Amino acid sequence: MTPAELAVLIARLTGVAHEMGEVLRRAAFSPNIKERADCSAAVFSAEGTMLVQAEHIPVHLGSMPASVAAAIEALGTDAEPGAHVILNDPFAGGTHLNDVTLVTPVFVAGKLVAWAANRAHHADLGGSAPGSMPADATEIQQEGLRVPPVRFGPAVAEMFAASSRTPLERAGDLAAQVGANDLGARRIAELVDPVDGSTSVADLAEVVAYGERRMRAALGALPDGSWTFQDRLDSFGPAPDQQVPTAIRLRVTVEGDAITFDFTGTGLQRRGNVNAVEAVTVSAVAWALRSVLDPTIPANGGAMRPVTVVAPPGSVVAAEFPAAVGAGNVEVSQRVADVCLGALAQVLPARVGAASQGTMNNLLIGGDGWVSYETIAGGQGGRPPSPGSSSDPAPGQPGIHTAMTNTVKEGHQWAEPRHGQSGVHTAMTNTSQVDYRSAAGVPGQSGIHTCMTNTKNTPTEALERSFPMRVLRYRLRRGSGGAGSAPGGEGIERDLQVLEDVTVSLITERRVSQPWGLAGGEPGAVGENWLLPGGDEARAERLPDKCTLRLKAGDVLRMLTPGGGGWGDPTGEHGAH
Amino acid sequence: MRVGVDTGGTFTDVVAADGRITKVPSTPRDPGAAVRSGVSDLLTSAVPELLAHGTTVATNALLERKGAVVTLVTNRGFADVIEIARQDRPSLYDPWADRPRPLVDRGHRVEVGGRLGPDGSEVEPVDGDPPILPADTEAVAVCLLHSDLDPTHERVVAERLVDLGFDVSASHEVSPQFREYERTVTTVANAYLRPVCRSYLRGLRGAADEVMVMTSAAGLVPIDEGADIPVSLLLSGPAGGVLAAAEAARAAGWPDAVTFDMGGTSTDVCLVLGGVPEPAGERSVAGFPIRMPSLDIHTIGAGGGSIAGLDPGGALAVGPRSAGAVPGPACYGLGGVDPTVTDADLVAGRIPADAELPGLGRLDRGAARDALDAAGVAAEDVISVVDAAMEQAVRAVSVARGVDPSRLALVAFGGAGPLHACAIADALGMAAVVVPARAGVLSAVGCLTAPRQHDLVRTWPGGTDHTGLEEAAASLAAEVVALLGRPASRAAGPGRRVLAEADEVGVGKPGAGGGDSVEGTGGGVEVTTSLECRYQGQSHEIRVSDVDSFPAAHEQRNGYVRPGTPIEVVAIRATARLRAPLAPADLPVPDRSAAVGPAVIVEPDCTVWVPDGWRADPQPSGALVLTRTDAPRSRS
Repeated sequence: MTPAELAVLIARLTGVAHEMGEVLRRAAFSPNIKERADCSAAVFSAEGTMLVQAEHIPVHLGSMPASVAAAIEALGTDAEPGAHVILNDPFAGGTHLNDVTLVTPVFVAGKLVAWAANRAHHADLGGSAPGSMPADATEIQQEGLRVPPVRFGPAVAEMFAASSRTPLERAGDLAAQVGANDLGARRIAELVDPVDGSTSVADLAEVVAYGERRMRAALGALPDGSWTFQDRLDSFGPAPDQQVPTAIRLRVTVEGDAITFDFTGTGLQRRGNVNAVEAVTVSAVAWALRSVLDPTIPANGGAMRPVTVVAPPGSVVAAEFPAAVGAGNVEVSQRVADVCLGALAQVLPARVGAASQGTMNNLLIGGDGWVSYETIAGGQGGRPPSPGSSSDPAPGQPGIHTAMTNTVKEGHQWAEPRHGQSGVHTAMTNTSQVDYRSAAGVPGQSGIHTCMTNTKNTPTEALERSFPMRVLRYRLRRGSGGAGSAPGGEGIERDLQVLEDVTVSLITERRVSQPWGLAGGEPGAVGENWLLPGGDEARAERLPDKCTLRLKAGDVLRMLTPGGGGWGDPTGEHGAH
Repeated sequence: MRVGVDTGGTFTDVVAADGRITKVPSTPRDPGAAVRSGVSDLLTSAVPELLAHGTTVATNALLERKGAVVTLVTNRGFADVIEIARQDRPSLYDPWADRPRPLVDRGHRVEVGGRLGPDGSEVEPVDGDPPILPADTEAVAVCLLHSDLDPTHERVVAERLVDLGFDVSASHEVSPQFREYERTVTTVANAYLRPVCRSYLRGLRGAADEVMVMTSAAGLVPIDEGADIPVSLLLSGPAGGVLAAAEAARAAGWPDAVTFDMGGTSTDVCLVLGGVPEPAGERSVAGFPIRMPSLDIHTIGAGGGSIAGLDPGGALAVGPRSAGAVPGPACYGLGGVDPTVTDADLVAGRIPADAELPGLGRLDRGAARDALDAAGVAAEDVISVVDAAMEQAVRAVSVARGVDPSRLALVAFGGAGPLHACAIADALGMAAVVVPARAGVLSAVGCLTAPRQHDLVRTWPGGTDHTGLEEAAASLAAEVVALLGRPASRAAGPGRRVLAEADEVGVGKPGAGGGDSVEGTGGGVEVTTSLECRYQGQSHEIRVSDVDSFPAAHEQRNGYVRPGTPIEVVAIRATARLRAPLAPADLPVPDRSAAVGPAVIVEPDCTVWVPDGWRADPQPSGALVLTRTDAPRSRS
């Protein structure tokens, strides 16, 4: 293929994925998918290699291939036009139970040429608490309906609906998922076998090879070497014996145009829901690489070929049955991203900022016949000066000390963020003539989603018109960003009053450990969860980071989300608080 | 004589009712100077009876952040909604891609006590005292929760501030729909733009007997009205072009079409059904969701100035970098060295070698070829890649909405549109390409021939209960007709007599007329009502003429229906239009000749590329219609 033919094919395939995603969002019923865009769509080759993806949240980035592989295996030789496979089993291609993936083979003239796949977050699939992410789950059976890869049909749709607290919504969302894949299959068929036959199945392999070349070109510009970083998850459940941290340890090794992320030494999975399956970890690695190296590297299977992820089975980053995994997607993924950024900051210090809030602040509320799920934004870490053009990465300079700072309140010395460096620097280049540290940097943004999520908020007016709740306060949390020459962004303060008795699940992190500062910047403020019984400030009680509880009408739930870490020395020339 | 004037980034285009056109260089520091000089170029001594104007003054003030110091007054506890926005970030992967800085800084966010509930009822009475505003406040935006359901609190606060002499924009007047961030940012943008737009528009008063300005919804309003709601002017120029393109396609026999306006840095496409450009209720401008009646124009950041090159993976990338107007494409000879789409068009022979650009002289074909060679890219390849991007844009407004492109024409205009349209029509199997008369100044033609228009929207509080919906729609329709008839800035002008009869317009009930509009035609005023509907539980609305037509519309756009699921009405819209006395077809038909591809047709204001296998035929309407040589030459 010529460079132009390749570009044209990629544009057309990407158009297909985007169109699938649009149909999914427009036609879905649950606010999670429509308002918050918690969904993705992708096109895969006949062998199951991802070609293009339209993801709306990064946590789906690296985890869709596992779903398609599982579906292909399950379908075996029974693949035929219209044979949809559905799954949500985290241990068979899924991530957490809410994420339901539909995979559909695409046939042209009787020959399998590709697969269409989409994933959507279903608000409730049963389990012991509304929203299917009970904070006190210790095994996956408590989290809801688990479906291994099976042929989809009306009976399966009824099973999903029957398991859910919101069955009508499930039926609508599944219809939207089917509609998106059917459309994708039609479009791919038009594309791969147009009247003039100009695009062949072999051309699709060129798209994969292109992704690999882009990633290798970016990796080849990095210095060879090995870098370590570690950080922690504060707890794995609400019980006192679950309020214990877990370490996530990482060694990043660059060799030529390949890179390895080795999580050996990371803590074991626990009897709580703060466990991630490997697919989630791969997603976080893929996100961090793309955001640090070059956001324009395509999200396809080829781009991940030079990337090796070593995640020890049975650890918190590669959990095995029967672990509960509800918070793996939403919380472990955030910390894996932090750890990847912390390690990559040593390789490319001009391209990584301080830690962002590092949690999604999940809030699940269920009342009589309704379920609401929200994630609440926080502070972004302060950043080095903008590198401007993404085509001009500035690899790291030897001898630059990137000081991580972090205060761990409970004194778990072993779990403080640490970094180290070893190996030979053989490919040191510095394309930037400006010492990036001499400038003030760019402050982190306030009240914004970072790293592995990007879901929109539910507007106060929409929330109050849909559910018996009233928002009393929704403001930025002044002073919560870490000091730095580029200070961290601020978290959010939100007071939510329930107007009827409800069940609430809170799944949050960074309530003990602070989002770290970088290059001399101070850490951001930890988050806080509070209950104000009857809205009474005088009776306010601090809640743990993870809990499921009953609230009475009139109670107020107050959440203060973490600030971002600061970047750069706050006392220097450009220092600011 | 009536004139239409469109201010663009480089040129200000003027079209007179007798069909004469002129282009004068824009004067960004004082855009009115180019407007006046362009008009006097054409009309010499006479003062036009009407000046219909598409302006970029609001857009530029927003993009360049040159508006007023705005204080936002909002509910206690909600000062930062304007900064938190919808809590999402513009790019998943680029850590430096920030949201736009809020138009109101933290020191200018003022909270007041008082609260409404989600049904509009009072939870806490509004503060008795007017809020104290920062001393440097130049304009005020008031946005209180649920004020779309009951504006009483907002009115109380706004009236007190008006009494104190402040220039106040209240959200229930600017954007009376739910979702507080979008309503707040739209209201704030309005307050921000008011002083600069008011002074600009008032400065044009003497330029004609009557001066009207084009809105984003492709309708004309008196300048005082435009100055009051300047946020409605943000997409003024593009709207004029789409309106005239839609009319040109209809006149050429293609009521269903996609408009294709390819300029230097961006390309706009818009679906047209039944001669009417698809409406939109919200558009993103400078990163802000501006919720005003607009056309549903889809914009991509590629155009003639997009830079081509091989990326590190060996694919030919066109954009996102652009050479802009300065240095511009290599062939401009202004110092640009990167090859652009325009350079490729020149080297490929689509732009004739002897072409000249006003003010630039002859284009430098050698420089264009050198730039392409240095980057290792071939002209035809650059064209095929940019065409693929354009194809995706056209797809997004047609195929992705359930509309089969094979029954559509592609209406090409703008500097580069007629150079690239045929390849896109080929890729999508579109029926024909229409190049309207005066394609190079089409936005000005659109202004000249646009209707006077007023739009209203109201939240429907009943949801799935449709009792009283028809009456509410009829009442809104009557209201919008009355607003169209309110006195213009000058009491003279040909439109006034007709407007005086508007009170007698009969207003139909929704759906009575079938199709997608309800028309009362008495007095020349046309009234359309529509409903924003969704299935209960959805949060994405579809605009339909009546509740009964919602399932079919949902099927077309989303592929399925849900019998038995209640249909929720979110809002009612009403639009009143008074047709211009002059249609594009009334302009003199330019002299155009037929051609069989491959051929280049050079016209005073645009260049058309007719590829091999295509032919171009002038129509009685003045448009050039391009069809495949193996296809029927005319639809009718």
